[in-house]
Amino acid sequence: MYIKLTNGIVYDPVHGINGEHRDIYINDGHITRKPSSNAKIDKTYDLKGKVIMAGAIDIHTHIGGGKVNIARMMLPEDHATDLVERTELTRSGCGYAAPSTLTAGYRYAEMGYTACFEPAMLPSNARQTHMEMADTPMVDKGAYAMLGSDDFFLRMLASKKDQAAISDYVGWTINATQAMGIKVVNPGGISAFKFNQRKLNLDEQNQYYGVSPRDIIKSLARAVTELGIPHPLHVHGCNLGVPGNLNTTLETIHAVEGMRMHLTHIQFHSYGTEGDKKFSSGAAEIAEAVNKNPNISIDVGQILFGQTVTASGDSMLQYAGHWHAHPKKWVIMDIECDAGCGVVPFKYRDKNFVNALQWAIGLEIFLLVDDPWRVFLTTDHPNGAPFTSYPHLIRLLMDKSFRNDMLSTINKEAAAASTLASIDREYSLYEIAIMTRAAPAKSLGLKNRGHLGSGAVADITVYSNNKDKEKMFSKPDYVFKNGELIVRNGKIIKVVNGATHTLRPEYDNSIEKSLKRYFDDFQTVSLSNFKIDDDEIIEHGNGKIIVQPCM
Amino acid sequence: MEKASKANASITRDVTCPFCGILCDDLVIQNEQGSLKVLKNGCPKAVTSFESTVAVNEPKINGKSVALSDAIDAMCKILKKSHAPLIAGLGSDVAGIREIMNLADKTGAVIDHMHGNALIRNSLVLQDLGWITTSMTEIKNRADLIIFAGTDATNYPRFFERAIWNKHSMFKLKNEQREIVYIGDKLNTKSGVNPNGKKPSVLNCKADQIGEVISSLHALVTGATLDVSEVAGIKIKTLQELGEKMMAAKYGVIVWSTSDLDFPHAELTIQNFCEIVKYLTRTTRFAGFSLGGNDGATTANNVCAWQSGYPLRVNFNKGYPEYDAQRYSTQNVLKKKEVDSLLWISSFNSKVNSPRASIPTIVMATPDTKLNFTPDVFIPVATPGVDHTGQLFRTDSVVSLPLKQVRQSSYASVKSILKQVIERM
Amino acid sequence: MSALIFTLKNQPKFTLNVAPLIPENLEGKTLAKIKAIKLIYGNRTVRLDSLFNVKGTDSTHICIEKSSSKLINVGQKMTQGSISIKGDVGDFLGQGMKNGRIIIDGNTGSWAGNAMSGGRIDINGNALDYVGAGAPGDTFGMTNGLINIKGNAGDRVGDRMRRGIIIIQGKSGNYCGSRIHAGTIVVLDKVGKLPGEGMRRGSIILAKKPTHLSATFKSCGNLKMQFLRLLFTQLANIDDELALFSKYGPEAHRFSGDLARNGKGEILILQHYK
Repeated sequence: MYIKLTNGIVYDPVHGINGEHRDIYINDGHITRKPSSNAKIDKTYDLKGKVIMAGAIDIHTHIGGGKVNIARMMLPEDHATDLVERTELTRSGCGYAAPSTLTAGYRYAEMGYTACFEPAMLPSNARQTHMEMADTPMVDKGAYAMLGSDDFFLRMLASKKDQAAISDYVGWTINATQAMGIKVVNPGGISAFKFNQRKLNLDEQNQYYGVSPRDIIKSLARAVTELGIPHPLHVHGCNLGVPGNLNTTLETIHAVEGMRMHLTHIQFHSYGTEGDKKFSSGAAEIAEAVNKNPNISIDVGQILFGQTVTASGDSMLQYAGHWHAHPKKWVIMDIECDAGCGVVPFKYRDKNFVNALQWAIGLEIFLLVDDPWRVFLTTDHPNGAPFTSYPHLIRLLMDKSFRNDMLSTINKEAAAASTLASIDREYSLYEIAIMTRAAPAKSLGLKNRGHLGSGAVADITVYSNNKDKEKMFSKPDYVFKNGELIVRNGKIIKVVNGATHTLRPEYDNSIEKSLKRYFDDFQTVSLSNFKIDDDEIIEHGNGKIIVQPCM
Repeated sequence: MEKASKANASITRDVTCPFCGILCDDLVIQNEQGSLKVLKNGCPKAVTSFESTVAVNEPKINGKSVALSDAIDAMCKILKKSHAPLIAGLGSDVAGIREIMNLADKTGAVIDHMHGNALIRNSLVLQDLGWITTSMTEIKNRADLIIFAGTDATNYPRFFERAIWNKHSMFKLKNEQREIVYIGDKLNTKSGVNPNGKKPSVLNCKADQIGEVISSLHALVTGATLDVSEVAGIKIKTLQELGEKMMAAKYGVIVWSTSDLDFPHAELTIQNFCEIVKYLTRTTRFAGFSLGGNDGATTANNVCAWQSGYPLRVNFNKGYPEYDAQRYSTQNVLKKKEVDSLLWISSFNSKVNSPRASIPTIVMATPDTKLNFTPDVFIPVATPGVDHTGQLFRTDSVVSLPLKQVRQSSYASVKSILKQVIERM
Repeated sequence: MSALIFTLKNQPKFTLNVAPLIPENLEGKTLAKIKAIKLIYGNRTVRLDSLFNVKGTDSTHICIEKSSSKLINVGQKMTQGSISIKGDVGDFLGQGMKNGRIIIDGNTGSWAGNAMSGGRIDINGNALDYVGAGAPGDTFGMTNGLINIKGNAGDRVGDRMRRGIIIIQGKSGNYCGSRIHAGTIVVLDKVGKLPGEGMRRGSIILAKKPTHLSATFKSCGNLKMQFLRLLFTQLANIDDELALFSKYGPEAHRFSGDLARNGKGEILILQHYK
């Protein structure tokens, strides 16, 4: 069955198509070349004047797993004002910063997103993450396994095991947890906090293991490279939120010695110590370093004003930040000598100097990084703001006068301390298509997503071009998932279950022998039950697995 | 499954035991022509539960045997007619709870777990204060001071074996370096005796006095002095010594059990545990650990939270989830007659009885459940982790485990029955 | 103009949330419109007049007659006018109310005055638990206003309250004033065990010695307290109903705590004048 999208204006950066009139044909869930003239077109959508992009992809959003569920349980007040009634098609739910899984899936689709990636899947909590992702409908999903504070890795590194063995362990972890990449969070710091260390700089040693975050990052980045994992090591660096962490971040960039690395929510790692308040923007230096180092990609983790909740694996710095909890309740958890988490509700205030400057720093980074292929649009949902604020963020990037209007409302000192007013850049639709579609797909190794060429999966979003970009991106006219129309006028018309993307890197499975002994001696689950087999996602999750190739 | 030495017997290893909240997953189970034997690592609870023979039972309407399909039709009829259903018990696995959530949403039901009273004690603390908690592997490898507050963990028979008295620990923490303290009344402290013979310290007081003992301890560790010379019969000096040990511990843990702290407003006692843990963490590392989660309680709470946004208890009457941990308790809504039909689900423990109410009642329970009344509809159900595969959450609410099938069963799973109900509604 | 009267036709079968029946919501509505208001009843929606007889015109003075403990959320978020109730109500009377007055001649369920931020509630009968408290997820319990109960109250009076005054003329249950951040609670008859559990600031004023006071309260001895004198006068000035303190002077046995919360709160045990 052929579907034709005609008269639309196409933005497909993978093929260099920048706002050109093109017809798009869909057959059997995929985009296809123009069929022969005698082929029957079953359905034609006349999209005169409308903008066509591939379905958007969120490369970093906390949609599932233990910490998110703790946030949901802790914050009934977050939900009570954002209730979602059931309909004939959709289930009920609720939540603003920490929505229920079903509601999150619906909202993503209604914004034109077709894939979301959970960035902090603790291996010991991976099963739950997959369960929650299975209950996040509409979109495809995947997750990055978190390593770097787990005892097995740290003792390998401490005993100077050769890199091949470490890579085998990383490869085993990806397979065992059905992951799409590897993330490291406050490298070694989550472990150090359990030994009562309260901070850990890049070259400071974890007391027990005698290894530094630099060692950890290098080793994991190498493993990711050697295993051919498409997405570079996803790094939540040291010293999140600490004034002066700008230097840590710059050193981290150099630490990988040219290997590919993704620095996530970099806004939270771009702070200087200048000025009376000893808090300043490091955006210019960070952007310069990113521009100069083509091996580095980033996502921003933009903050937007209002109430949200921060949920992170970084128990060390979440503990440090708990003094600012709003409302005053918070959770820290140590997990299985594997990792940890911290959940701290927070309210970003536009009249607060630090919060206002954080807002400006994020935007500065967006606007000062030259290459949209290496900077992705995120709010680190829900840590900087809920993902539902993306359309507002897009408007801030695309509309200078709107941005300056907003700038004039924030804390005056922060506005004065920021260079934002002097930046003229406005993102184009083409650049937005890069940073929300083409680039994330490329970074994740999703070859047939993020573009509109023949052979691509027909995940397509159609918008009405509106001068108000917030309106435009809030409510797409049509969203197609695997060639099926699932959203019309920003409302779900068909509920589908997305697939789970995973990788199956090759590694030497003899690592399991030492892992088996390790699990028997030290862990409280057995090795065989730690691993998640396909059936748990397919049979128990009513889902589908798509294995993406390694490089 | 693998072939056993005995003919016609198969052996399954690394079996997860679904019969208590700590989910030991090292059981070895033999199936000889349908009868099960726990060959290794079974506590008395596991042995009794796995090895009990399966009763022969059938779906029934008003006590009369019927085909499953007819029972499902009768169930649909009751639920369709109902203006305010209550779905309770919720003894099921992840897949079962998922369907329960879907059904509750569709029928506008109130949902509550059979251990709801215990569950919400933690939820209320989480929602007021939050906490610092830990998980079993952390305790096993790190904890040098473990305080059992109001519980002796005997409902979790292998807790000490699995999490405390170790042959190995990651950080070379030796058993003799571990200190065990009990606070409470009539606790069986035998498990707390160190393998080297060292006895645990025991501070005796009534369960509803533990809160005051802990808050006195809290005041003392902050440096305050108290007017009294003893609290709940415990000398201040004893508390002072304990306080010093807590400050000096490298990784201390307070263990409580939500079901053992069974008195009104016990959440205030749990809050006191969490407050002192947070205070001690300013200088050292301390954490809480809650025992509970039998009959899939932790599972139900988690699935409910991610699907509805709220932990238990939730009411879908209005078309959206409405949370009220206290008002929507099974006892309360039945007593106040706020519901007009009851669906009770219990697929693990045959000794659990459905509440008896004067409203149309559907019971989905294990085949050997002996009810003290005749429900309108009874459907025998399979047990997850014995009769079919599944997934359950461990008491620490962070680790979940796969459940294996160790025998063939003629009974249907909660999931498959409810799927049919939802299709027919 | 006559008060707008809602008379319950029968004892409702299910709990009935009557949050829409507040003055600001009914203002300017015709009787026909009011009768057609949708209420959620069980898992369906019904018209108001299927459950209530309605008469009268003055929406600023609402009466609920033949009221039942099945009615919940009476006066929710009201900001003006008055609601008077003949009979009992269920939970959440005056939940989140900002201003105005609620008077009930019967008993209430739990959470009367839940997280209210202003106005006044008078309960002539008894109230169950959590008077003036916050429900889970509320940042605080009541943050202002006055609750006056002639009868008894259950447990956890004022849990997490932030400001305002609660007067219990009868007895109060256990954990009275638990976790309060500030505010004033007065109990004129017996109080249950452990008042002030986890309190940070605020005053719990008791006419009788509690059965058990936590060890985490420190005696400061008998003190003459200007605060009490002011409070008594302030209340008596509101109206005669609240001139309750002729028997008591400004002298009280003061305990400070809860020391486990670095508490700067106080429990004051009043001394009889004569």
